[in-house]
Amino acid sequence: MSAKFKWVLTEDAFAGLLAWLDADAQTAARKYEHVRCALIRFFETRRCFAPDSLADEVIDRVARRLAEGAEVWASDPYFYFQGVAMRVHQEELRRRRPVEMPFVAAEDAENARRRLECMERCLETLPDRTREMMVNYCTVDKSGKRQQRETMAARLGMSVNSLRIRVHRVREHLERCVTTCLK
Amino acid sequence: MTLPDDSLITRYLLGELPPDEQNELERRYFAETTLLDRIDAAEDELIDDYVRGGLTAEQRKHFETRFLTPQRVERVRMAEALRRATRPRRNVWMVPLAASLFLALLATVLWPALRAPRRDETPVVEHRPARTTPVVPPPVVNENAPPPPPPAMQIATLVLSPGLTRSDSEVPVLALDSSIDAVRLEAMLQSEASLCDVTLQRIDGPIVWSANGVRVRRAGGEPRLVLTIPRDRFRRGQHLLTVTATDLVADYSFEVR
Repeated sequence: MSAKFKWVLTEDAFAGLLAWLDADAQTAARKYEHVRCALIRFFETRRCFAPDSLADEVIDRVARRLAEGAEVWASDPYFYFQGVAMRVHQEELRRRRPVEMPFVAAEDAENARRRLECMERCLETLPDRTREMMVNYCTVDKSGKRQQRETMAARLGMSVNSLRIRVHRVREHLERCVTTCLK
Repeated sequence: MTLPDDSLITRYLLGELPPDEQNELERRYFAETTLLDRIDAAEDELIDDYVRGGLTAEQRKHFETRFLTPQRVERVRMAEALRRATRPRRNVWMVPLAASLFLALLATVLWPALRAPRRDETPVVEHRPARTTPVVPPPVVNENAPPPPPPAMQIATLVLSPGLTRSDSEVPVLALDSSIDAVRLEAMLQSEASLCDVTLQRIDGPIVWSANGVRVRRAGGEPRLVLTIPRDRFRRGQHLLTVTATDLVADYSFEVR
């Protein structure tokens, strides 16, 4: 019986992958981050058990193909990643079923209280203008949501979409902060 | 190319798109950063609507059976905490506080009037000896001698890049000893903004330094922030530098030893 060794992403293979994404190192790094986020989103939408690990598996496979000298035919590198992701997903489906979440288990009162305290503390650590933006953004009522967001975006000198993306980035920051606080 | 509208993205997130439309949307977000950002933002909106009871019965069912995963349950809980932390509160202490302020204001306005001498009263003039300040002779300065050189400031520099690592194990290290007076942090940015707000805190601790409206430097390549921070703001352990701009919120963590 032949032993199977798992291929590990080496520094050279990673550098090769980045060079394939773009000749400019900074642009390549940005593209790499984008591909990884897109892959996580891809597996999350399919309710896979560990989207991060599967995204890394796809990246490793592409890097390995490149390191082995295979010619990769794709009009755009992104589409090649998407193709590999579909194959990895098929294999994952054969291994285990998608995650089933029939209901949201309510968080117990003590945890919810601690989470709220942490969130309040984390909000306090934001710069004043950012905190004010979050409070205004989160307290709009449903009926006037569109109008209020347009007004807010205009006041901040950005489009509504840019405002939503900015709020998303702050939320990511807050979630990391609360997660650290809860540990 | 125009971006898909919000309802299409919401249907994608809720697993309501037919396979060909799903593949098409995925093909696009693999290639377009902006679209992926839009989907992230739409996911926030969807979770907020769920938390606030703003979904239809069918959307709610799809949210719970097709959208939720253990990671997303955590995001729902975060959204609920954010909603509670930002909602306006009825402050029961506001009434007594307002009453106290009103009384204080009233006293400030009325007190001089009550204390003002009546016309028939003779004002009392106090005679006090004038205070004298001892005169200290100025130090003798030899104008021909060169001024003493200022002591050289010792500055430690740390360059922080947006992470490319898969784990938190490769955190940059800033080694400080007692000879260091200040720390120069250079944070590489992926931002088009010209000004940023910055906070520095110890992990799970209070903010120890902050600055608003810091100018982004663009000369010589990538945009970056250059910050000079006094040494006494740092302690041993993990620190987090947070940079916010109109198009960015970035965290840079590093270890001080």
